[in-house]
Amino acid sequence: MTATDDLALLLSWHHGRGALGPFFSALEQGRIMGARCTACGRTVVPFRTRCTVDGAQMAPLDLPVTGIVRQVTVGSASGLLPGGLGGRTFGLIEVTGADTSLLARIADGEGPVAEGTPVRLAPAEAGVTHPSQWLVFVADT
Amino acid sequence: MIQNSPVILGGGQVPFRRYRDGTGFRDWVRLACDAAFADAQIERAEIDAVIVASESDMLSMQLSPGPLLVDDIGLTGVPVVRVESGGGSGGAALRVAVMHLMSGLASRVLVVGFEQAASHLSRDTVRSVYGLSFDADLEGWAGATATMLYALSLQDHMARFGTTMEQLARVSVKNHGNARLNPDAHSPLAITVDDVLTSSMVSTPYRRLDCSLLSDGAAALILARPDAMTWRRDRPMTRIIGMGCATDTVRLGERALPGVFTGKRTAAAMAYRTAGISDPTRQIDVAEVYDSYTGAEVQGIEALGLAPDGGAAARLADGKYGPDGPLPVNLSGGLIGHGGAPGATGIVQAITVSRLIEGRYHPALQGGRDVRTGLIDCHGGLATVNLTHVLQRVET
Repeated sequence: MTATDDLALLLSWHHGRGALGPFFSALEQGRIMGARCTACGRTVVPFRTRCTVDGAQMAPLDLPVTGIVRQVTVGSASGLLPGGLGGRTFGLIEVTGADTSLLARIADGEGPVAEGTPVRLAPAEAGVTHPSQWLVFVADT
Repeated sequence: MIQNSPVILGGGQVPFRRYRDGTGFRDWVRLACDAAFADAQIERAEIDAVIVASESDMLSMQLSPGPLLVDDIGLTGVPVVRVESGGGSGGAALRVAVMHLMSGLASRVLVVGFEQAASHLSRDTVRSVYGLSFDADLEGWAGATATMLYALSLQDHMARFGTTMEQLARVSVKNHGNARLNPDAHSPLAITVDDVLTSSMVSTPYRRLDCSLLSDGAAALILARPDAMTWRRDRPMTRIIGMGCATDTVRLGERALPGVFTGKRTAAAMAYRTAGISDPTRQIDVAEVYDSYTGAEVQGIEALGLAPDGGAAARLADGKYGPDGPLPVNLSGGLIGHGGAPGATGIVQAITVSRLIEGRYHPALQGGRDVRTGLIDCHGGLATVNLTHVLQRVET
């Protein structure tokens, strides 16, 4: 048996948003930015620069802020989300007008959100540590 | 068949577990390499390339491990390449080694994989780190975990094909049970379906006993060109006759079929094509499949063409993939029973299948089986990058 030592390293990054910058800015403003392929017309969310089907360039477009819950899971989120180690709900959301689904956190309102529930983008929360934490949906009552 | 099919000369590993004895990955790599050289019966001086696999420097606290480990094991001067493909890192290292040999760039290659995934960092820290192995900006920092993503993929599979958690629990029972006969396994357990179904919930519907372990471990394998080795007379030998690699979209929501491992299907097709396998259900005798979760084994079996889509769970219940079945899956215990040290896992899979082929695996698991052709499968992300290899006994 050899000795062990407790070592700690705190890392802080100055991290650019890059091509996702407009998507995150839109979220902060209560909008969802998707993308449409300039070749095949496929509409995806979140925004991306290249189509996964044909590799063509994609153009940004605003999508409705509504959708339907496709699948949902409840579990401990990671510590990267403030307060995340408690139970959180994440799901795949079929955003209105998009051909793909979007992974997002779902805020529990009056109860757990089930598959098939209509949802809408929640207002951007303050105090996030990363702009992806603005991507939260709530039941659309 | 791939040109100049490389031959496996030998391999070695350390047991997978959470090491509490103050040792670290550098020690485990040395031990695994010593074992591999002894098993292969060659000298260090005969190695002309080293491939090193590990998933994350965040886990090991060592950037650029390749030249460090070459130095540690007494091979300073030999070329080294470090390979990473998430949980498929070991399989990717095997692929790169085969490329070295096929191209003539090297004659005898040492493949080393390791991970210090269990003892270095706390479980919560590791969960945060692994969130960054998907889309860090869009998923990791949002707080999503690997288990959440796998759970969402599984739910699509369940909705399409009617797979149940009770069916999947049999994967855990099988793999923990196989691990009881494997002295290198991290989690040998005698459990029942009910034990799995009543274990604590992690992320719905996955429970604790549906999930694989993250382990500490290391493994090494030595491969050679057939014209640059001495053929063994005391035992059969194994060669790599097929390999494939393919990717899928990194974000689950952009997949047309989130519950189907499409990238793995493509990788397997490539491996089978190069190996001359036309009906894997008949031509594959054993398989080591990347069972990061119980559902992932079932999804993997289907994507590998060992069952039709939606058909693996029922065949599992019928015993087809059990140790006494016609196509045993994860005799080692898989990630669920043997454990998962991502950089080493694909290499351990190769050691497992080659020893089954050579008739010298752990006796209780080898039994009297005659294995000619085996499949190994691993992946990174959510079957986002997939590595598949076909191994076969050399007929003399």
